[in-house]
Amino acid sequence: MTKTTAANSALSAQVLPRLYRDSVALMRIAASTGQREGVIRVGAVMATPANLGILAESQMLPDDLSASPDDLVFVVRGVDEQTVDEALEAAVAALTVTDTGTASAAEQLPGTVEEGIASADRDGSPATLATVSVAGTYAAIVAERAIRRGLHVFCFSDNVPLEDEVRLKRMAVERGLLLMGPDCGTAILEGVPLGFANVVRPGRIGMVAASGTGGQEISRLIDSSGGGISQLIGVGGRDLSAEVGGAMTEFALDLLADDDQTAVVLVVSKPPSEAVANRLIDRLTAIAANGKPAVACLLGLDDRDIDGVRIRGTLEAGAVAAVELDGRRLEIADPRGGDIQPVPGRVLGLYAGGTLAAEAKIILGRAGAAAAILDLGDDQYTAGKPHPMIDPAPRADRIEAAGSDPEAGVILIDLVLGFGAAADPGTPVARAVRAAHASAARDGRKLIVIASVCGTNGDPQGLARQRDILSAAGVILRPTNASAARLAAASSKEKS
Amino acid sequence: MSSEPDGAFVRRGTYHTSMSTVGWQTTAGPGRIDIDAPWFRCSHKLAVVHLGQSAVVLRTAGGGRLLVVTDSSAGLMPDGICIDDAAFPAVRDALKRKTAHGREVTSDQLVSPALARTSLRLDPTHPDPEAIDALRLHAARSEHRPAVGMRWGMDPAPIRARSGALASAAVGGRAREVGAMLGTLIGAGPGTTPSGDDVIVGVLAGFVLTRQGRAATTICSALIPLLPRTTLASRHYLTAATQGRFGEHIHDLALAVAGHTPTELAVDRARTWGSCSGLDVLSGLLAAAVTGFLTEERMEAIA
Repeated sequence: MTKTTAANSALSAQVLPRLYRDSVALMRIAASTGQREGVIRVGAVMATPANLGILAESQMLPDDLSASPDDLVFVVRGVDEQTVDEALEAAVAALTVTDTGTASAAEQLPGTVEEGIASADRDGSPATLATVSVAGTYAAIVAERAIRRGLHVFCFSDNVPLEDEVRLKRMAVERGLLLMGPDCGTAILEGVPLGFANVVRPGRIGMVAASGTGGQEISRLIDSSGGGISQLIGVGGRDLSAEVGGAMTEFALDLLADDDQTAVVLVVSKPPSEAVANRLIDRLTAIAANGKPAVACLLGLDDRDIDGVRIRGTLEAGAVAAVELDGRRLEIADPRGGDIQPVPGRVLGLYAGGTLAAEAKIILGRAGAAAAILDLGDDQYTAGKPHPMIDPAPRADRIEAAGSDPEAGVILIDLVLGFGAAADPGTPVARAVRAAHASAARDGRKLIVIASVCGTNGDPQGLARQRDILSAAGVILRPTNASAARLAAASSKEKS
Repeated sequence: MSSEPDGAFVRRGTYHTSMSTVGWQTTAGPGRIDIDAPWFRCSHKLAVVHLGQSAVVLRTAGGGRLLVVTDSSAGLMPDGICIDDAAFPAVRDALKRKTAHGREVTSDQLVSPALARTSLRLDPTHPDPEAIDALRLHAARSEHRPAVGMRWGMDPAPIRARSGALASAAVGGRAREVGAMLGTLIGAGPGTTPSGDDVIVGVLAGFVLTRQGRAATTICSALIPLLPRTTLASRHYLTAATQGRFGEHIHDLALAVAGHTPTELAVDRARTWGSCSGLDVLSGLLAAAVTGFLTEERMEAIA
């Protein structure tokens, strides 16, 4: 280990001779190290002359470091020596555990569907569901293998060809199986969370979600009312498109209609094609006529009631309607924010949740606010990198950079908690918000940061703690994403 | 990519035979071997360098040669053996058992006569200008541009941005400039095969595809003395590239350059290689392919 200490920070590095590590694994370890409290910057590269030169240019090269091109050098700069030592120790442990301990366990994991089924059988708990999270090119093959072996499938993978989705959903329905996805982020079946999901109470509202964070936002609002979820069946973002035609949504609705635990049925989606929407409403009308009231939460549509089906155009309104039909009330405190003076500049939305971004875009558009809303979980931003709900650091960098953007007056964000999400998403965001405020202040500008936290009291990250972290950094919190978007619209004004 | 010594073109996945490894308790399954690596037939002792989910990397004791055993998702690599997904876990576990506590396997234990022999020599193609434009567009959309102040790694984008200048200098025969550019690229950037090296591999592939042998030779001449400045893994792939041999994924990209496969799918697949290797290779390949296309167009205009 080599070290250098300066007045305001410490730098330490470890050379790991001839260590060969998968690039993605290396990136993950570096990212998790970077998220530790007090860590300023991390470098994890092969010690080639070129890379050592780049580290030196970035003031990330400790004095007297000696390494050859086949060595891995892991460098940490932090606020003090103890911080960097602990971070480096953890990183090296993760790298070497991958080689001997954890990797041994990981490499004994089943590598194919057949191996997985055999392994589950040997354990005495026959598999009933397969989760698929491989690259999209291969996901269809794996999903098909699982369906043919009689398993329900939760397919997190995206970039699966549309024709494969149509074909496989038809195959699944014919066999009485669920194909949740492709591009399905969230599900809760028999109380078991799959993918990204909040800890919500069991209850009587059954959901079909063609939207991951849409499902999360509504389910966590239902939980906050004291109600709960019987099932949350994800169907993938394209299910209600004209091509797929709602195949899995209809099948899921049939299941909920027959489910004794479900008393209220809710479907959530971005706006479907018109023909599919009409069929969906007809199906929900039939379900309502049989005694289970229904809500169609279709983003962007106007709120109205038709034949026992409540159609709602925001996630917030969808949750309110479902809770009401369940015999409860969901009160959403939505103060006007009268003490906030509008600031010049557009609204910049930096979102981890795609549907939350879509809802914000609709609300800001209706308000006529100048806005740029980015869904940072979209493929163009992730490109082989972890989703921002897993790794909050890249979004935090963007938040920090927005402080220097003269066009941005309001920053609008979401913070999504629950299973699958980062252990502490609030801290890097809070750090970035402080830096953004400081940058804006240096330029003589006021910057407003508004957020909603999609979480429940049961989530492992600690809802109250995450809210406190953001509040302490000066983030204005709102109870729902829709409310946050409304406040953002009211808080920005045109630049003169 | 040829699976016959006479160079007949066979698409990946259509030429399989059963593989059995002598003396091992493994599951039989289809497999292929890079035909241009005859040293496999000799009994070289191999030590495991890395055991991963889709690749096992072995190295000859003292020789510095690599052997890369992959499954079909990773694709056949130069000096490699590619095994069907169903057989790969058993082979990987057998290698792990064999090499535990410093024991070694020998290369002839891995090479069975039943393996299908596949050449990874890249054949020239006729680039489709529309396909190249589409590839560039999709690649640009996939470009990861981290925010200012990247916290934990190196940004490969500035390294990829040098691919055009390298290709241009090579086509122009400007050897000194090529040498200088290679000096800034080799070993530079994130990854076990640093981004700069993947860019160079891509540029060489692009020159092979577009029949720009002179430009490729200019790069190779300047590159070989610089190889010690990068990692063993990169030296392996760069050396193979100087011999006109490229991994299976690059052959897939060649099909896309010729307009034989959907460009968006090709870019999506490239995005899945390592943390950024695929896009690094693609940027180099497109830079060279565009240069080649312009050259052909200019020649047609003159004629």
